[in-house]
Amino acid sequence: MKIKGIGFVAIPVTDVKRARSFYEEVLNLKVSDEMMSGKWIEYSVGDETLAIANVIPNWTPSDQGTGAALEVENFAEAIQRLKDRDIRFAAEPFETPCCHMAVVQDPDGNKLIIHKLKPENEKGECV
Amino acid sequence: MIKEVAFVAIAVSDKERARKFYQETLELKPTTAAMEGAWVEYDLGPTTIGVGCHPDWKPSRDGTTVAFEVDDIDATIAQLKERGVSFDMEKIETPVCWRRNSAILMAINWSCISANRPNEMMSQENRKGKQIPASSFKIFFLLP
Repeated sequence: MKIKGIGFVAIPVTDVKRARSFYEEVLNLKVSDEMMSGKWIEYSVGDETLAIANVIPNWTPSDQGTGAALEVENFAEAIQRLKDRDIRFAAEPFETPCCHMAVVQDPDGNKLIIHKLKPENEKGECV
Repeated sequence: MIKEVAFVAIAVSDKERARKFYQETLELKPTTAAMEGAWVEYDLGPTTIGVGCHPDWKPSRDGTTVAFEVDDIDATIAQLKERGVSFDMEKIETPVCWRRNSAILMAINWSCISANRPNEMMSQENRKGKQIPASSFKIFFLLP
């Protein structure tokens, strides 16, 4: 068995239009593909693909379980942008020895970690 | 604003059982472990999977899920079945996958109860001009 990498990370949503405005207008992600008559939208995020989906009735959003951590360019700016748009925070910004993090929720409640690794010269011991 | 996926965090309820699943069943190699094994990281290409066990963060069959890319999907499925992994969705082929002679399947942890799902998922497409093999399997980690 050889797992080579991540194929994609998929996030179930109930309302694609509402979810798209969050992922595209708030998070500023760029659409890389649209499939299944717009029920499966993919975004290129670095080398990976993030997808939002409304394709299977018994696969619903959740504020528990797996969550994607998104690396931002500028942590303070990203937090400000999310606050300005009244995005829900499940965890306010906090700091670890090696990074800054906050947890936000998409319109369906799915959690996303906003993450910024500290530069090498400011980093403490990571896990 | 967003540069990349930093990591994907997966919640588990039993760290020892999860360690066996990720390391023995899926054959992933741990890159770091912290908090006495309650947080274990596995590097996968440019991204990391973090498997975490914390009382306030519960596993879920729903919500975000991650697809793992494999070379030989049929061999992988056979191995997973031999290892007692139950499948949430059997292998399917979508029009996109089919053209690429590959398929996606979804599986759940061996400890979970399977649920049937309709055969509707899509595959990986070309990214940034890179040809990415579309055979993937998807795992729903649900540790009751």
